[in-house]
Amino acid sequence: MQPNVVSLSESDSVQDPTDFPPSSIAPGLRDLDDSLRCPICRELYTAPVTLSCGHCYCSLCIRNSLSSKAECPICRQNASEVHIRKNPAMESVVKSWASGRDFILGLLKPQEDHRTSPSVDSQGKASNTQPDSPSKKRKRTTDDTLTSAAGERKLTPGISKAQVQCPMCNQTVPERTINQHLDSGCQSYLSEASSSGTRGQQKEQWSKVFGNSGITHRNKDKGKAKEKEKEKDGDPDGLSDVDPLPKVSYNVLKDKLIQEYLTEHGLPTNGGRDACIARHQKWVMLFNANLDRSPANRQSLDQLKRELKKWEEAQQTRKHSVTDVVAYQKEHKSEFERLKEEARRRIPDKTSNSAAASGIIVIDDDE
Amino acid sequence: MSEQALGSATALRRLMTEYKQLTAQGVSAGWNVHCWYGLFAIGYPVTLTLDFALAEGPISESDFFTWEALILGPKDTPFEGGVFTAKLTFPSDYPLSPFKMKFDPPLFHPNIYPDGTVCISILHTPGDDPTMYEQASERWSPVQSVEKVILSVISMLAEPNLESGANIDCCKLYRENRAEYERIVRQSVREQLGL
Ligand SMILES: [Zn+2]
Ligand SMILES: [Zn+2]
Ligand SMILES: [Zn+2]
Repeated sequence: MQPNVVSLSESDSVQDPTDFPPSSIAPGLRDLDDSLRCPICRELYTAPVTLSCGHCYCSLCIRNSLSSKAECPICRQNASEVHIRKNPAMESVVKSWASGRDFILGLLKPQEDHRTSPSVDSQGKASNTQPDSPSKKRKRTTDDTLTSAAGERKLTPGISKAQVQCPMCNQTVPERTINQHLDSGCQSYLSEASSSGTRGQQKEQWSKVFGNSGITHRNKDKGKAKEKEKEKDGDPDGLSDVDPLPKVSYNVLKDKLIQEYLTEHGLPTNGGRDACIARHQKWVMLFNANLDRSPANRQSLDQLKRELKKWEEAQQTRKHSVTDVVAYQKEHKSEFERLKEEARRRIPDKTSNSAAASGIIVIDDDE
Repeated sequence: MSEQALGSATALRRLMTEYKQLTAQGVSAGWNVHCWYGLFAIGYPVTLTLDFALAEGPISESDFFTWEALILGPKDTPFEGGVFTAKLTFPSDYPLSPFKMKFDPPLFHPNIYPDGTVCISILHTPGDDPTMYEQASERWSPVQSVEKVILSVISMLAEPNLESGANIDCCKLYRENRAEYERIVRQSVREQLGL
């Protein structure tokens, strides 16, 4: 496997409702997880907002979508940014669910998983999620642990055995929390070991990139992820009484004024008019979406700038190597040939039964 | 055509989620999921939906923005028995913009361009209707998905939409001489299978 490319195994670390067993085994959980996810990005809501039709999205997701089409992506009712309303109730539900999700998954995991993952213990926090005896029935274990868990919200569930390298910042992150880590702008959910040192370094690099911006940071140490949770009044950038940024009609503006807009927020002004406009537009979006979080959950301006930079880097299209694809197709040609072979064999009796057309794949018809 | 890009982190994560969900749901819904190095084949239970199976997944590990789908010709259509390969190409702003779908080799079908590109309303953005006949409600929106598109394409194979034709000759033939159209399709399916 090549370094620094997305690997298929990484898709295992993606969270989605199918992490939970179907309702026949764990009623409601999969649906619950699904209903707390934004239908655009398919992740747990970040700064959830509703449109006037009642449909709910992440603030940033719907702002992006509205900028290309002024309608609700689900019901297609006309909509625009002025229709966006915060949904703090959903936000707090999602927050609780996000913090309990891994724990519940840990309870649902087959017990062998715990037994074969000694690294859990090395984190020194997982004791309570360990089923005490493999002979106990799953249901009982679940009930017991759920009850005892109610008072201990900080518990790290014992399921994140694997550590992965974050594709964005290259820091080591527990596989289970890679999404939250990415959501946090690479700020939190780092592995225990790497969290303190590496983050400090990374922060320094970023501050070099952006220099000292127009908006000063009153609290240099605010970024510590662990403290963020305790920080009830955490509002280092004074965002709680800030109004959303207005939309700008760029085509009537001189280059210089656009650059001033950027400087005003401590953003770079390189890259020409179009780049500056795109940068400012994206900044307005990120800034306003951030205000749709409840104050305690807001990102700092620093974090928003990091997001902006990340976005800009992703915009610079990187050519991928076509040769890889061609090589892959060659390599797997035999698979296709085999499929065709099997389909061919089936053709003579294609009318004989309904499963025939499923061809390559043997279909389990339970009746 | 937007060139292939590694795309944004958002697009990548959404794709990884869809990919995972497709395969995981396949398993739990009782579908058979076969995996060869990231190429997935999903067989839907006959009792649940149409008689088809599909395979899809990223084409290579380094490029999550190009998938390959294997689609089985739906039952009771001239495409029955065929195994068709389509390439899905995702833009870096997916899911804001739809992906592109191209059969390789091309299929002879009223809604498939001679180069194999699928012309179907669910893959068109609202501002982009080459035929002017499509309902806005059927177009792409960021809440659509690979799975929904594949299902639409499969029903399109069974029931061409002559109002938004992509292959004019094929449309004409379909309208004027259905038997000949079906014969040509069947013939090409057999050729494709090497019969
Ligand atoms: Zn979202
Ligand atoms: Zn709606
Ligand atoms: Zn990271």
